[in-house]
Amino acid sequence: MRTQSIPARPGALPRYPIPWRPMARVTWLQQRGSLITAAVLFAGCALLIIVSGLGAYAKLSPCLASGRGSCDLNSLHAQTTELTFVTIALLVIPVLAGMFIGAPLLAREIESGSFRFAWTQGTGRTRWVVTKMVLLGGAGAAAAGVLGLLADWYAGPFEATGLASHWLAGQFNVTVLTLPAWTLCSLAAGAFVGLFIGRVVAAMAATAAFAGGLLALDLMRLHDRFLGIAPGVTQSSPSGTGLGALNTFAWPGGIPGPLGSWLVNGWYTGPDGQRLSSAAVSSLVTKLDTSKSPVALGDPAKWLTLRHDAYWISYQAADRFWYFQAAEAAILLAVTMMFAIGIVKLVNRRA
Amino acid sequence: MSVIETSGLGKQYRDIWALRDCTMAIPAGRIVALVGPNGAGKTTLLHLTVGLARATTGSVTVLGGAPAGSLWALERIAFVAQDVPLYGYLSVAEMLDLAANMNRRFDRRRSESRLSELGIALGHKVGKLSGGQRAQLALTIAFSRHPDLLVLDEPLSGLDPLARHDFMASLMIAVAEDGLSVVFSSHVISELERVADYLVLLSGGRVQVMGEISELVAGHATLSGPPVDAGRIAERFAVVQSQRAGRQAQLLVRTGNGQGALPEGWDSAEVTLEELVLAYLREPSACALPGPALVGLPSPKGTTA
Amino acid sequence: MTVDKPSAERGSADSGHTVSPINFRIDPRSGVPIYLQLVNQVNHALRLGHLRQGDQLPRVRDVVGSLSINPNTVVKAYREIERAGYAVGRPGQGTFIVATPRVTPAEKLNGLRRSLVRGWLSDAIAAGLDHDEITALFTAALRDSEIAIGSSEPGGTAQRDGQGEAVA
Repeated sequence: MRTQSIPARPGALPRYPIPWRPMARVTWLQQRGSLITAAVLFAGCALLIIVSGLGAYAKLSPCLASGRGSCDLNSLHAQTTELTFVTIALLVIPVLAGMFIGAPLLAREIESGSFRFAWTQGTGRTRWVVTKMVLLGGAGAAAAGVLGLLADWYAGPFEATGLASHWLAGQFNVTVLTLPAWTLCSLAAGAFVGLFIGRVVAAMAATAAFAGGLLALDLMRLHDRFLGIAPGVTQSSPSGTGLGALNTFAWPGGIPGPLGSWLVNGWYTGPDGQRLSSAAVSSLVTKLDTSKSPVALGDPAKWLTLRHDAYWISYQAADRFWYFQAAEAAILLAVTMMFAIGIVKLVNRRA
Repeated sequence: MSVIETSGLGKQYRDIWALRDCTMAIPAGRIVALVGPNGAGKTTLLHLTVGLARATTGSVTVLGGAPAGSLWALERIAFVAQDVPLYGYLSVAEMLDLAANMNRRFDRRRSESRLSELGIALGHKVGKLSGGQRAQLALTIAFSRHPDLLVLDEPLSGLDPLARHDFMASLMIAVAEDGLSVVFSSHVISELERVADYLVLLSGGRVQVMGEISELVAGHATLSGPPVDAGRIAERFAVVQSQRAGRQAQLLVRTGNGQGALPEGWDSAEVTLEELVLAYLREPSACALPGPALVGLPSPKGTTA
Repeated sequence: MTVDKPSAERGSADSGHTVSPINFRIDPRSGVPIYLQLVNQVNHALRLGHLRQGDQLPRVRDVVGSLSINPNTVVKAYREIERAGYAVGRPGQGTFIVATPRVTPAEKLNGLRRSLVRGWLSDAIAAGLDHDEITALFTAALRDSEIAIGSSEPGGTAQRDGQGEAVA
C-alpha cells in the first residue's frame, strides 16, 4: 500500500488571520460587473450634484448677499425642482444598492450551487461571508458618505434662504450620516434576504420591497414622529406657519421660533393656562386676523398676552439636528448589525 | 490513520433519514469508491465529510480526528461537488486566481501546466467549457491545493466516455504524483476495480459492505452445483445470494480466509467486484463489514447482520 | 497481450525524460489481475528483446495517465519485476532494466516439447479429450499456475552470471 504521512492534528488550534487582501481580490473578481456599474452611477450622481450645486449657488448667492427679503422665491422654482429631483435620486441609491449588490451577493451562490465550491475552500464560509460584507459595506458606505457630503454642500444656499430645510424628511435622509446608514442597512437586508430565499430575482424583488417600503414608511410616517421626541417648549408668536422647519429668512415678520429649528407643534392657551378648544382657537385667530390694532399687526404675541392668552410651540432646537442624525444612523446601523448577525448565523446553519 | 471516521453518524432531512447508524473508518492512502444506488446517501455522507452538512446524530472526523468542516480540515481536503460548481462568468485564469486567493496552499504553476497539457486555454470563459473540460478544471484546482484528501461526488456523471476516461486518467496521475487519498462516489460499478482499492457500499442510508477490494474479491466466491447440497453449503458459508436454475444452484458466498473442500459436483469460481456489489444490493440484509480493527489479528469472517 | 513498440526513437528525450521503449495495454476482462498483465508484458518484452539493459520502464504517472488504472497496481507490478531481479527502482528517476533473461536454448525447448507429447498430452488423448478440450484445459492450468506464481514466490529469481545477464 502507498504509505502516506498525514501530519498529526495540532492540539492547540493554529491562528488563522482574516484574509482581507485575498478576499478583496475574490470579491472584486466576483462582483466586478456590479461594482463597475455602481462606480459609474456614483460618478454620475456626483457630477449631477456638483453641476446643480454650482448652478444653485450662482442663482441664489445674490439674494443671500443682499439681505433678507430680496429673494424672489417664485423665480427660483427651477432650482427648487432640481433640488427635489436630486434628493429623490439620492434616496433611491440605497434601494438600488440593496437590490443589485446586496441581494445577488449570496442568492447567486445558492441558486447556482457555487456555494459548494466557495464553502469548501480553505477560507471557510464564515471568513468568506464576513470579509465580503465588510468590504462591500465599507465601499458602499464610503461612496454614500461622499454623496451625502456633496448633498449637504448643495443644499446650503437653499437652507440659508429658507427654500428648503435639512429637517425635512427627504433631505434629512441623504446627509453624510444617514445616506451611508441607509445604504448599509439596505445592503445587509439584501444579502440576508438573498441568503434566505436563495434565488436572485425573488431576492431582488423582496429587497426592493423591504428597502423601498421602509424608506417610504419613514419619509411619510415615522420621520415626523421621530422628530417629535422630547421637544423644547417655548412661548412664541403665531405666524401662521404650519409644522415644519422654522427659519429666519422667509418670515419677515419676526422669528416664530428659534433660528433653524424644527417646529413640531403649536397651540394656544387661555388665561387659565389650559389649551384652548379648536372652536375657541378659530374664533381667536379670526379676531387676530381681522383686528386692525397696531399691536395685533406688529406683535401678535403681545396682543395675546393682553388678552391673557398665549401661543406656544414645541420645537427641536437647531443644534439638535446632528443628534437626531446620529440617532437615526444608529438605529439603521443596529438594524444592519441584526441582518449581518443573521447572515453569519444562517451561513453557518445552512447544512 | 483514517481519512474519514464516523461514529453512529446520521443525517435527517425533514422526516427522512438520508444516512443512519453509519460507523466506519476509511484508511488513508487508498482510492476509495463509495458506491450505491441513487438516494443511498452517498452525497449526504460526502457533504458531512467536507462540512457542507451537519450531522443530526453521531459524529464525523477527518484526517485523524479533526472535526469535519473545521478550518484545519478545509485546508487539507479538496472537494468537487456533483455538477461541478464553478463560476461560469470568470475566465479559466480568473478561476485559478480565485482559487489561489481562497486557499493558502495553491500551486498555480502546476495548475497552469496541467491545463495546458489538457489543451484548456486560460482565456476561455468557464461557462463556455465542455462538461469534460469543466470536470478537468475542477479536478485541477482541487489537486493544485495539495490536499491530503480529495473528495469527489459522482465526478463522472454527465460525461461522455472519452471525458470519463480522461478524467480518471487525470485523477490517477494526481494520485501517482502526490500520493493523496481519494474518496469518490459513483453509481456506476463497472470498471471500478482498475482504479479503486477500497470499497464502501451504501444502501438505504446504511453501510452494507466495506473493505479492501482485493480482500473482498478474494473473500467471496460463486459456488455452483446441484441444489440438493445447497443447504449444506449455506451452513458452512455466509450466503449472500442464491439462485436456482433447474438442475444448478448458484450461491454467492463469503468464504473468508479459505473455502476448503467442496462437496461432490460443486465448483467454485471467482467473483468480480461488479457481481459482488450487485449481489449485496439485491440482498439488503447481508453485509460485509470489517470487524474491530485489532492490530495483528485477522478480521473475523462472521457476518455482522 | 501485445506489446507496442512506439515509433519514437529508443531513448529519445521527450520534455525532459527518456521515453520508455514499451507501452502497456490491459485487458480488463481477461480475468488476469492487471498488475500481472503488466508483469507479463514486461517479461514478454524482455524475451523478445524490446527491452534491453538500461532501458527505463514507463513512468508510473504515464502508465496511469494512459490506462487510467490505480497507480498502486503499477507499483505492485514493478516491485514484482524488481523482485525477479530484472529491474531496479531509482528514487526520483524511475525503474530501469538491469538484467535480461537468457533466451532458452533450443535443446531445452525440444526436451520440454518431447516430454509434453510423451507425457501429459498422451495421457489426455488417452482419456478421450479432443483438441478443444485439451486447449481449454491447458489454458486454464496455465492461468492457475501464473496466478500461483504471482501470489507466492516470484518465479525465476534471477541470478546473475558473470556477464551481467540473469539465469532464468
